Amino acid sequence: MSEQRRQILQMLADGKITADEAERLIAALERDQSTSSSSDTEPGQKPRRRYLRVVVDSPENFGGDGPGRVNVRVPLQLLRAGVRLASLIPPQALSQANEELTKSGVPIDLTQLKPQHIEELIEHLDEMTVDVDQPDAKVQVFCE
Amino acid sequence: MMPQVVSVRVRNERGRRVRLWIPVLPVLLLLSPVLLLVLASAAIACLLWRINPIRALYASWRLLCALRGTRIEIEQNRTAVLVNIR
Repeated sequence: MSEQRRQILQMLADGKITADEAERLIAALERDQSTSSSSDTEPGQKPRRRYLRVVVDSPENFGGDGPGRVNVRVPLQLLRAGVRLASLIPPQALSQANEELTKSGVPIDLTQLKPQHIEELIEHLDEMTVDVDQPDAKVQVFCE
Repeated sequence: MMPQVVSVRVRNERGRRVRLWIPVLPVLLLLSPVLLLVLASAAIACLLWRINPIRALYASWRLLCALRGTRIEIEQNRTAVLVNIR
């Protein structure tokens, strides 16, 4: 989150501005940011994300052994390479995996999953952000 | 480009730290006799499962190269483990 956005939200939380004013300010901020970033990159191009990050922060108790933190950074290229390797799985193994998945209540047909579909999935991962906030732990999954 | 160095840092409960820098290429050269055996076994397995061994080898190589940039950091209480592939 940028500093300006944080300030706007803080002003909203303090009651200095209304929700409508905060919305207008954030929209103006986004317009400014998109204008400044478009001067740095080619028009229509998004900054390319290279890593998938998983951060688990538990300040109080992590598995009963005190505070803990997990910080994993995986290159998206590794996911692509994994997909290519997975495309070599023989059809017999895939059908066996399908049967086991169906038995476990996950009726996914892995034979219908083509490498290009997973490529598209990875391409769109950069727009994904998962935030889980709990009193005792915080989980974040995002691309950077 | 394949990873050059794997650095491992470990901190135990008493605060003692161990740092290791493992150069990948020399280790691979050192393990080359074992790797040849592994490659031969993998090639036989590929032929048994009707997988193109060249494609499998290429995909495995890509997987190894893509490991560069991976960072795994786990801290719990006073203990910590960090693995960084560069």
